[in-house]
Amino acid sequence: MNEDEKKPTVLICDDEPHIRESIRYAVNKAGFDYLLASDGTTGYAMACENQPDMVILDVGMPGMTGYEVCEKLRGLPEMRDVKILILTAFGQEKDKQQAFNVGANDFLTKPFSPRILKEKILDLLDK
Amino acid sequence: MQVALVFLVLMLFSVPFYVIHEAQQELEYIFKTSEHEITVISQNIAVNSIDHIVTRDYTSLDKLLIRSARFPGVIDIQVTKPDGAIISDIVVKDGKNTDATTRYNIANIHVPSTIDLKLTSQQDRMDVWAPIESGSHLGWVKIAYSMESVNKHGEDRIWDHLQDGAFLTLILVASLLLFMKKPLNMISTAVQFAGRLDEKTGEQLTVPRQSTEIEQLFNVLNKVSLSLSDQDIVIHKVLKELETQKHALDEHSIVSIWDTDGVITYANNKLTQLTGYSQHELCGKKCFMLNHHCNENPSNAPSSDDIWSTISSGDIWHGEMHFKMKQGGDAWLNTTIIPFIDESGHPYEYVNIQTDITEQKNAEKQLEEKNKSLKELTDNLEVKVIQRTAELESANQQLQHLNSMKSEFVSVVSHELRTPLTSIKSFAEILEDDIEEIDLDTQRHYLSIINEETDRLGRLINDVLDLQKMDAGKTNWNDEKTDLAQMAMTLIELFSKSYEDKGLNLSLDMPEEQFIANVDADKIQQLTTNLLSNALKFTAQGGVTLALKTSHYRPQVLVLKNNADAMLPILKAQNFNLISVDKLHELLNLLENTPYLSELLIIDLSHSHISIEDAVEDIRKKNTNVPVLIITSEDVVVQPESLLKHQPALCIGVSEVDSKLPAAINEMTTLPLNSSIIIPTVEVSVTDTGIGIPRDELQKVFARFHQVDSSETRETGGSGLGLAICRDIVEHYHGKIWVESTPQKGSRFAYILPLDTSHETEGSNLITESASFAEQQNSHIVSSHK
Repeated sequence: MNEDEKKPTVLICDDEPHIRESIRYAVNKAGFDYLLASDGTTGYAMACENQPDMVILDVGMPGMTGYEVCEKLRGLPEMRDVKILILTAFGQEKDKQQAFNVGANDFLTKPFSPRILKEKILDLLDK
Repeated sequence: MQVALVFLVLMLFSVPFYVIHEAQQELEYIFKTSEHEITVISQNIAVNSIDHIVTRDYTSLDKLLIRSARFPGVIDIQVTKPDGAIISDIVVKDGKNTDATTRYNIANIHVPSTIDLKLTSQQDRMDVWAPIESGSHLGWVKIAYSMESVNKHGEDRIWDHLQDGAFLTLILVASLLLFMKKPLNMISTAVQFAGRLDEKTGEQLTVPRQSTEIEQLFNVLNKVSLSLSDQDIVIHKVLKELETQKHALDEHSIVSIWDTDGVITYANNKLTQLTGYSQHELCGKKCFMLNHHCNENPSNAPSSDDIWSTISSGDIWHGEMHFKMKQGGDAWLNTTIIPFIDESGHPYEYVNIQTDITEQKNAEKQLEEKNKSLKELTDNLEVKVIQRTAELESANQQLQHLNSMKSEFVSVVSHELRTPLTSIKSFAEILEDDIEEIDLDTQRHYLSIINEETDRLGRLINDVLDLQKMDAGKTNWNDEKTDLAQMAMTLIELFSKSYEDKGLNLSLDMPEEQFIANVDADKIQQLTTNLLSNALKFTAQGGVTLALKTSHYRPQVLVLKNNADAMLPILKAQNFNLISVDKLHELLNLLENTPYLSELLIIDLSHSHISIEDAVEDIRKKNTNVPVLIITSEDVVVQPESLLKHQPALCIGVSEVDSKLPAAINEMTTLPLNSSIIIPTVEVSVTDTGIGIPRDELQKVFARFHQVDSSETRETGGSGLGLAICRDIVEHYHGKIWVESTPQKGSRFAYILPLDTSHETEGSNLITESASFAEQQNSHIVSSHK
């Protein structure tokens, strides 16, 4: 990673504070900047405002679910290329399918490994 | 001939008149003649007596008078002087003038005033006065003449004339008879012929050439005879036909004839054979004697009055009559009653023609009964099919609901388990990978997260197990008399430190008394702990109050009254806390504000424009569980399918309120009916000054895995099962738990439990009485879910 390059920003959106902390750790470990949101509505607003390079969304959140946030973001022209990773404790195939249907780039089931999460973030941001 | 006849008749009638007239003429003549003769005699005596008077030769005078007195009819001759002194007087006795002179009679008689011939006539005599004159007036001659002889003579003459007349009449009559003999014979022949016409029609008379009239008469009679003969043939034919038809009718039908009084005048063999009554028994009886009048008389049999009213007004009556037989049994007859109308338009006779249709009728009845039972069977089957389908659908829906609940539960449990697991795994891995890079404080922090999330996982597993045990009925309920006041004080002590740490005030509000309930102390403590923990979690400032008080529980029933007035007295008779409203929106508002307070909703939608589906759907948006009883306009045979998804819900008809309302309440709820006992309860409440709960979340807080949707609640890390467990505990004791809340101001969670009052009774029978009282209480304490 080139030190002079501006670090990509990852928006972390999860209502569970401890999980948010573990994701933040993984993003930080990958060397990216991060933004934190504790519910869907705030997450969507912050994404629109800050235009992050990547958004990590929990599914079950107050305000808006991760699926709803993802779908709305994909509806915005400037958000078409943003990388979206959906994290969920609902780990069935249908949940995964729904994540891709609403426009997510990748999907990770809880409990996840911060190690694997870091790799996925790097992959998605093509680093 | 007619002229001769008229002449003879006239002659015959004129004879008496002629005879009478002739007799009168004769009588008049005789009278005149007598008058004249007497006058002549008197004048003759007057002349011849002059000399005798002058000479006073009275003897000669007497002789003269005697001679004159011999004239028939003379009864007395007197000669008097002018002054009336009698000179001679001859009286005729028995027709003989034998007697003598009366010259010596000195008495004078009254003489006429003038000296003229004078004649006076009386009934039976005639007197003639003739003056005797010879130069001077010498006296009078008076002759009295008896009319008897004159009358006798007249009578004789009349008699002679009558004899003549009679003879003449006899001759005339004889002539007439002789003259009329032939025509009369002919008329007699014609009369005899006419008399025989009814027997010997067609016979002809020989027409005489005697007289035109008689000839015409004979011709007319001959024509009449011929015409009658023709008519006779026709009548004969018609009668024969009628006879044949009557025979045919009698052979085919049951015939009777009634007079205008409704009396049977004729009954044919068929009728007697059918009924068992003889002709003699039927004729002379009233026509409706055979009508079935017993109690089993089918309602469709016509009434005698209806039939009589129709036929007596001249109309034909068609229909079916129901007869009873002499030997018992009955018969149905297809009947036509025809009134025979006279010239004045009134019936004079009724002919009743009937056909026995008993077999047909019985077959119809059997068919009808079979149809009826078939229809009943079909209806029952239909109703059963509908009911069964509804039950199956309901069961299916419940099954699907349970299945989806189960799936959802598994999914939610999985999600809830994965959440703390994620934290545990993440931080364990972080510590494993980067322990050298992480400073000690952060390591401790991560370890504390792992610890915290492990506890959370443990609690969650315990809660899930608790719920599963309760669902499976495997929970051990160690019920014993527990003083809730004591428990409250213990809890205050336990929680005081935590509250103090958060800077919150925890207070206890209760009277100084015992609140003894027969409950599992651990469970009630778990329940109350849960409420106090929640209050602690969701309150940032202010304080929390734990309160206990006795209350007298009455189930709250919310009523939308409309037309079904009958239901209010029934409901008022119950021990309900009855709240009635007039409009659906008022009811919905109440539900929105206090979703957990009502045990039952009764919605009268009879004669209302609001549909059942809309009303229940609106209610379910406010409260998903409350039983809803709907009063509809129509009676309810099958519950509407649309209610299936809104259960518990039932419909009854407005006219069924009296009979079905209590049963419906009983079916849907455990509300105590006809109870005058007010159950003593304890109400335990935890009131906080926390974040509160949005109104639309109020009814969901007791649902499993429900957490009020906000990041703040997530921060508190609950399992979402605590309140669900609380509800299950309360409902196990037939209590009630609810929440009242205002967002940002605070919440009040409260539950009520039945108090055990048996400790107030005497000690020796404490257990028995306690148990029986507890049973009684339990039967009256209500759960909002059956």
